[in-house]
Amino acid sequence: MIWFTLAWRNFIRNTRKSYFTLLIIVVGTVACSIGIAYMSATFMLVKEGTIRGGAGHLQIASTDWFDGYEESTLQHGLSPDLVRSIEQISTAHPDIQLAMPRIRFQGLISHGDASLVFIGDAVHAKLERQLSQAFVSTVEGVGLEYLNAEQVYYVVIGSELARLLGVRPGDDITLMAVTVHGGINAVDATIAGISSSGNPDIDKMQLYAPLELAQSLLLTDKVSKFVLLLEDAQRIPSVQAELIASFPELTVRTWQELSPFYAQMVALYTRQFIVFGIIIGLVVALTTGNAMLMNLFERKQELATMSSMGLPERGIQASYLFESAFLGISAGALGLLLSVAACELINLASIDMPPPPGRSEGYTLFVLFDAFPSLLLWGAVILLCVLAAAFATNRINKLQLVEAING
Amino acid sequence: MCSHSEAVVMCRQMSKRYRKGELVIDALKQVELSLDKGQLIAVSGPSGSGKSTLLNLIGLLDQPSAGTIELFGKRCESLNRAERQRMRRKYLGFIFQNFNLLPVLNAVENVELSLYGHALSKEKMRETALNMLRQVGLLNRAYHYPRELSGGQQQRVGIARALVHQPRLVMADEPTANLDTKSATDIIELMRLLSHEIGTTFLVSTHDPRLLKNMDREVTLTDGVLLS
Ligand SMILES: Nc1ncnc2c1ncn2[C@@H]1O[C@H](COP(=O)(O)OP(=O)(O)OP(=O)(O)O)[C@@H](O)[C@H]1O
Ligand SMILES: [Mg+2]
Repeated sequence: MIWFTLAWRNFIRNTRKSYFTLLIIVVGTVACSIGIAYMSATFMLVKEGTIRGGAGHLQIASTDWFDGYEESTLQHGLSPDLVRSIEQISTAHPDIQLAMPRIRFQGLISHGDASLVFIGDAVHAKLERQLSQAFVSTVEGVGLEYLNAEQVYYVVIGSELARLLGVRPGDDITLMAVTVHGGINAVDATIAGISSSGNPDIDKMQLYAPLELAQSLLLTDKVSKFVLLLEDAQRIPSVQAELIASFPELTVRTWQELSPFYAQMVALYTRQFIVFGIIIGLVVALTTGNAMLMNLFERKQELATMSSMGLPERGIQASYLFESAFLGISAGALGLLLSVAACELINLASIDMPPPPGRSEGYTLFVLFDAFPSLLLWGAVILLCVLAAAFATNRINKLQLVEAING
Repeated sequence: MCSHSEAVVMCRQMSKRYRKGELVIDALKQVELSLDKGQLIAVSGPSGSGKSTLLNLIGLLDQPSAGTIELFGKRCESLNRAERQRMRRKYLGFIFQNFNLLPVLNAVENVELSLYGHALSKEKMRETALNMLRQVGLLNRAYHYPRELSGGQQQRVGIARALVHQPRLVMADEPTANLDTKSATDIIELMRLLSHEIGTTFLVSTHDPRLLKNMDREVTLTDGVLLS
């Protein structure tokens, strides 16, 4: 096809002149690509952080537990019968890796004269530890998962709470709470460790206890909910559907439903990226369009010659679009290659980032170069180049042949 | 539509007026011209007399301000851009003063350009183009690029390109102006040969008197007025 040949040869002939255009497109591609890689990494970190940080893939509880509030302790909790059948089904199900009962409770924690409010999570620490390597990162003492089966009366409390109470690992405290029957009960326990979540507001009230401690404090066999971890996140919808069928009286929520923050963050980042992308895209389009206009101008005589021979102007324009596409293909490919290298370097450089808002700990910058968005980006770069060329060359059919033909 | 007695070109009362602000230039004034098939016709005249303008109008690159043009019996003065484009592709050939070969195509590819839109296979196109290059004596340069050819050789490729699709009329605006005397006479001789061989009409503008002696006919322009 002649137009293709012409485009290719003109592209080759022009490479030296189009260095600058090429450079702009490459830089634009790299900027977008790294932006995407950064977003991908952030999304993945937040997603994994949410799932592994306690939300699991799915949670199962009564509808009122999710949406209402409890007037009395564990009012909407799961009965021992339900607990047993959820455990049975989970153990038998090949897609479910872990099923962890949890109790959310609150009360007072006392040490000496000091009494403070706590919000407690009662858990199976050994299961939770499998959900997250970082389950309750203790800054002092040991985590609950290191206790043996008999060591029930031990707790881990937040660093701020420990500071306010003036306690250290090994100190004894008393927990007081309203039981399921409405009375008040108290148990004595020992501080096993002190945790830090990175969020001071949480660390001011947080308490972790073994499930058995909470149940003996609250005088019940109930639990608040179950948290499920699946073998594969892709199975979330099917497992959710099965559980809904098995427990029509309960509600099953996904991690995304439980943490709207993720969706909000994705929406925000995406919107910011679109603005960024539009700016970069404009620069690329203007540069490419300008380069194509210059080409057109320089090759006026060639254009007029072809036109005088009766070659269709649409074909002549098509050769410009092809030429611009070649520019986009090569510059985009070069940009993506450089991006792979840049991402590799960024990850190797272990750049420390300041703590995000609401957190007290920084993190190491990490980017994730993904094939799919990169191919999309490549396609977008090519499309942009072709569109710019289309704009630049849409007046070919207004060319004054007589003037152009003699150069 | 055109019997042998009919003229290839027929211009009646053809005028071209350029306006440059206040200035009005009558580049051609009521030209009456009729050209026969298979002739090599020279358009002579001093610089600015309207030679290029005449060739551009007959070559359907531009439109007259008044009067009519008939090519092969078809009225052409009010054809639109696409129709003129089609006429040029099918029936006309052009040879340029600056050769105007595409620098990114080699000789045979340049010649093939004229064959697009003529429903030929790739192989047939190449064969036809190579044949034409042989006729202009450049078969051994078929795969050379224009920058590797002398001016005379480039113009031979230009002639091959203008003739390969067997047009009825070839326009050549000062085809020898950029060539030395030897090449110039060779080129004119080649055109004369081909015009008689293929039966194509050549309209050649020139103000080089040495070239006029080989022509079948000469028309002269003075200040936009044509004298046959
Ligand atoms: N686009 C234009 N606008 C205004 N005037 C023009 C234009 N083209 C040609 N002319 C004028 O028309 C007249 C004829 O020009 P033309 O180019 O046909 O002359 P020519 O005989 O080909 O001259 P030369 O031998 O120098 O090529 C000249 O006076 C020229 O200045
Ligand atoms: Mg002229």
